[in-house]
Parts: sequence; structure tokens; C-alpha cells
Amino acid sequence: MKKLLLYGVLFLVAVSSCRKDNDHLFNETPDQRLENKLNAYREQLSGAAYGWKLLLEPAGGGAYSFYMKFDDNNRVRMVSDFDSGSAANLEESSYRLKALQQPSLIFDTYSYLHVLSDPDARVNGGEFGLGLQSDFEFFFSDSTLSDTIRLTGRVNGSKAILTKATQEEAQAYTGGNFNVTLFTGFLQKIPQYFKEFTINGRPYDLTINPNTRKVTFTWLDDQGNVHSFSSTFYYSLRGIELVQAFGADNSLITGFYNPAWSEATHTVTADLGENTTVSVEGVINPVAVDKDAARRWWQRMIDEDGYWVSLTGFRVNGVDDAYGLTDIQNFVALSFFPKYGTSGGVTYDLAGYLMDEDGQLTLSFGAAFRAPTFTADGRIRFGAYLGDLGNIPDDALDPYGNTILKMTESSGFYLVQTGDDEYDMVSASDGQSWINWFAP
Amino acid sequence: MKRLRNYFLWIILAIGVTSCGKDDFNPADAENIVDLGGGTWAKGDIDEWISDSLITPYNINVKYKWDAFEDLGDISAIIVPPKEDYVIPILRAIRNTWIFPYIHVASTTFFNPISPKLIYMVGSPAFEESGAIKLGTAEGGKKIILLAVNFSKTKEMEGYSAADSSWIKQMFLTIHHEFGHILHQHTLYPPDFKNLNPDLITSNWQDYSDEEALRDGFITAYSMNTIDDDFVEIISHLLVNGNTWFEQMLASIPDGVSRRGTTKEQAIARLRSKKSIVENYYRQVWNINFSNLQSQVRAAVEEALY
Repeated sequence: MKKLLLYGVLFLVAVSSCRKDNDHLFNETPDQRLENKLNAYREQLSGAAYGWKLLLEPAGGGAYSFYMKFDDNNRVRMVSDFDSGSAANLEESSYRLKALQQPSLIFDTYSYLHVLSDPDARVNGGEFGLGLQSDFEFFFSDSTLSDTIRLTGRVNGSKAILTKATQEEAQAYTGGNFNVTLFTGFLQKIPQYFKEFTINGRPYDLTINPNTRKVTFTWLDDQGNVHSFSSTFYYSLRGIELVQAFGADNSLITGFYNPAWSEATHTVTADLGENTTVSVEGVINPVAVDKDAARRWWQRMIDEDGYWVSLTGFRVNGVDDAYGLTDIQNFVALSFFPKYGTSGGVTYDLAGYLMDEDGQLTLSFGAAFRAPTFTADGRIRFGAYLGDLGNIPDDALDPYGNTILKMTESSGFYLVQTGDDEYDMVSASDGQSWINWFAP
Repeated sequence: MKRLRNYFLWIILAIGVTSCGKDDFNPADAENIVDLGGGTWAKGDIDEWISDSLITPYNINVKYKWDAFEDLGDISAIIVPPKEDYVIPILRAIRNTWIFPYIHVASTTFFNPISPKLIYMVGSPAFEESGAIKLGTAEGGKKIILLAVNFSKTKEMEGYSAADSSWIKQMFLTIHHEFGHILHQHTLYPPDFKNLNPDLITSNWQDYSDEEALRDGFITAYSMNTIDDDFVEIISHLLVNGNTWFEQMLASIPDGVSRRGTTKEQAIARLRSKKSIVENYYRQVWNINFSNLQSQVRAAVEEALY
């Protein structure tokens, strides 16, 4: 009886194990479905008659815009808003659709997209070995809409979004009409360092850093408290676009569009979206000042026993390196050493000239100043000119003297911290001259 | 009864076996395997050039397009693919300075069977965490990975200046270095070479400058890594930089004794021995006139760069 039972089980196993019902959830094999998906993406990409706009937010920060036209032979032509050259010159490279772990879009020869990923920091101003931590291989994260495709970078997880372009956009991008300095170019014509616009009677400071692609608004509320809002931005055909819109009182700022320069008032007018137009003007005193910045800047190099460096000296009334420091033979940089030394019982700061002396970076000469004072409203006022250190070469006399005169202006300077290791020092007398200092 | 049961068992087994007979495999079905794509692309000028100039005559394939799954050995740094307009000029220069001289002095029957079968091109160098910048690497004689393609301009390219020559010269050195490894892995160099300076071989070669290495009788600091590397560094530098350069290097060794106790005379003698062992090795093992090969490589290098 036991054996019979065993045979019975064996019979059941033999019969049932051979069930070959096709009871799959899908009608096709995974490979077939993957292939269909890749083909669908390929048709979607190359089928867009006027190409695509791509907005890329690298994992390392910032936002960059591209225009891309895919054909069905693995070729893509693109421009990018990285700089004026990449915006104007359409370049062709190669792309592929491939199943990595999931359907993926791979840009497989060097293009403007790879500029952001390049580990050579000289290419993109990023970090050596990392670049801007961007991506050039993307997973399709979502493509439910026919004119929008979301992508995620495979290596760093950068976010990207493709949006179908219109015929007018395609013509502008491919015709060399993408001008990334449309708004910022006008902004630079304003002679003052601080820029301001007013919405509903409230003034806002506007700070734009093209290197980090960050725009910052600073304002005072009704009680006089300082507020600020920052967003990354990128360039488009009509100006700059904020990645995160900013609600300024009752107006929504999504970007600065269709800018125009007024030579008469030295102002830039721009649309903010939603029918709001503002006029950006230069001001001597900003809405809000970082009151600790001046002392922080000065104290840091005492704590670190180091010095600040400027490669170009002062910009004055719209002229970079107005005093011609870079024309001095063998000039490398202007440096600033707080509490450099003591002379006759007076501790002095030094504005030193770093020169290339036979391949050696040398502090050749400099101007000594008495100790600075700091005002309650956040300015630094350098002390009186004390004397020279070293021998000043003939071709440096004018740049040297003019820099001393500028630095000893009695109204002093505001310090604006623009990065971890970087400050702008802005003349408080007219707001039209400033110098960039960074920690070497 | 016992017999009956056995029959029963056989029947069950028969059902089990026959009913599970799977469909026969038909080789023609292989064509129905779904191609997931991405492995092929519309061929362009570059693909055509590679096919005509390297694959067909020498059976060397080149991958210049990014492949996320390419085995890069010990390279883990972030890298990017090459610029398309650099691919052909660089490959042409490599062909002229490496393949052509070997074939002229020896033959394709010598070269083709032992040449590496794949060149993988990468646009950027590998910036390693140690701070080192890697320019090339090879795997077991099968594959050469060429880094820093986007840095390496040749004379035929727009905007070339003499300053650009250092990168591409590194690339030539890499190729000849790796090919040297293939040669000695095929037939080892004579033991004399191993006995020249075994005490000075060190994996801490990075602690020494090229000048210090030269004073100890090594053509580069990297030569001190292993005896194999010493052998192929001598080969690659003799071929790419030429004999005049080699003599200049010997003449530049200063008087006195090196940090590790080598005199100027010892260093010069050691380098001359290395050179003559290499020359003999090429003649005896491969029937190649080394100085003839050297002048052809050097001429091609100058043609490509100056």
C-alpha cells in the first residue's frame, strides 16, 4: 500500500511537472519587451521634428541647458549654454540606446555634455578627477508624456529632463542665435557692484554668480529682518531661467526675460514672467550687508597665517584691471597679508606684489598700511599708508600708486563673500570699483 | 504482483520522460534571439577607417565609443569618451610609429599573431586618488587602453603646437612599452638582464625622480618597478626618443655617487649593457635589426610631431 502511494505520487509529479501552460503576465518575453521599449524611445527621440531641449542638473550642482537634435543613425547635434562658444556652434557627436540595467540613453563620444563630466578641471572649473560630477549615461526614468522625457544619470545620479522644442526654438538654437550673455551681458554694463530692483515698493538685491549658476535675492521684511532666497539658473533663448521660481510679494519670478539696456539710465529692464516687468539698477549701498564679512575676511588670513590673492587688481567704472597690474612685467598676483609685520612698533598690513622671478613665485615688493578699522555698518577702512617694502620697478609705479590711493579711500569697503574661499571687496564711496580676493 | 508493479513503474517513467521532451533546438532559431541593440550603430567615416586600416590588415579592433562595461582593469577614476576628430589622426600616428616600422623591419607574419587585439580609447587621463595621472595601461597582451586621447594632438590637427607633442609621445611610449611586454612574455629575455641591478628594483619607484633613476642606470623611475618594466622601458624609450636622445641622457649623468651608491661610470655601463641586451634579444629571438627598427620608429615620430 505504501509503495502504491509512492507510485501515485511519482505519477502525479511526472504528469504535473510537465505543465506547459503559458500563463505569463505579459505576452512577450522580457527581451522582446525591452527591445520594444528601446525602439519606442528611439522613435520618440529621433521622431521629434524640431528636436529637444535638455535641462541638466549635475549631481555636483548648477543647471545647464542644451538643445539636441537626434537622428536615427546614432548621431546627435547639440548646442549648450556652457559658454558663448558652445551656445553658438552646433556640434555633432554620437549617441546610443542600450539596455544597461534598464533602457538607457548613452552619449558615447565627446560632446558638450561631456564637458561637464570631464575630470580635467581646466575644462569646466570643477574638481580634478571629478569635474562637475555630471553624467553622460542616463536611465529613462519616465516617459509617459510624448513631449517630455525624464532621465537619471547612471553614475552620479544627475537629473535631466528633455522637452520637445518648437520650430522657432529649433531655428534659433541651430542658427547660432543662442546668446547666453543676453541678460548677464547687460547686467555687467551697470557700473555699480550692487544691483537692485523693486517689486510692489520693496527693493531686492540681485546677485548672480555665473560660475556656480546661482542667483540670490536679498530683501528686508516690514520689520527690517534680512531674508534671502537662492536658486540655480540656466540660460534660455529669452534670458535666464530660475530652476526654482521665487515668490516676491505678489509676483512670481521664474526668470529674467527679454532684457533691454537703457543707455540713458544705465538700467536693465526685464520681464519676470506673469506680465511683471522690472528695472534693475546699480546702487552704492545694498539693501542688506553681511556686517561681519569685512572682519571675517581680515581675520581669516591672520588665523591661517596666509594671504588673499587677486589676479587682476581693481575693476573701476566698468574697466577690469583699471590700474594695469597685469601689464607689469612678471606680475603674477596682488596679495593681501593682514598683520604682515611690525615696523617701529606699528603692526602693519601688506598689499604685496607676487612676481615670477625666474620661475619662483616671489613676494617682491609691497605697500604697508596701518591697522584697519571696522565700522558698525560692516565696512573695512584700511589704515594710513605707512611705506614701501622692497624696490618698486619703474613699470609698476603707476599701478602701485593708484592701488594705494584706492585702498586708502576714507569711506572704506564692503566685503561680499561669494564662495567658501572668495570675497569681493567693493568701494563704499561710489560702489563702482571692486576687487576679487580668493584664498590661494 | 511484484512484476506488475514493476511494469507500472516503467510506464510512469516512460510517461514522465516522453512527456517532458522539450522542443528540439534548431540552429536556425538563433536568428530569432532578440537583439537588444546598442552593440551596433550606423557606421561612419571613423568606423570605416578603422576597418580598412587596422581590422582588415592587422586584425586590431578599436573601440572609441563609450562602453560602460568595458573592463578597465585597475582604473576606477572618472573618465570621459574621446573627441571624434582626435580618433583618426591619433590612430594614424600610432599605426605609422608602431605597426609600420615593425612590419617593414620584420613582417605581418611576425606582427599579426602577437599584436594586441583591441585598443580602447578614452578621452581623459585617469586622475587617480594618489594624485598620479595615468595615461595608458594594457591587459595581458590582448588589450591596450589609451587614455588622454583628447589631450593628444598630432601635427596634422588644427591648432597643433610643439607643446602638444608631450602627450602623444607618452602615448607612443605606452604602446611600445606594452608591445615590449608581449614580446618578452612570448620569449623571455636572457638571464643576464635579470642580473644587472636586482637590488635596485623597488615597488616604491614613485619615491624617486627620473634623474635619480638615471643616476642608478635606469632610463626612467618606472623602470625600477620590475625587471620586466626595466626591459620594456628601455625598448620604448630607445625606439620613440631615438639614439641621439639616449646618448644625451648618458652624457647628462652628473659626476659623483647616487643616493643608492651608483657611480656615474657604473650607471653608464649599466645602461649600455641594457641597450646591447635588447639589441641582441631582438636579433636572436625575433630576427629583427633593432637599430634599423629604431631609426624607422624615430623617423615616423618626427614625421607625426615635428
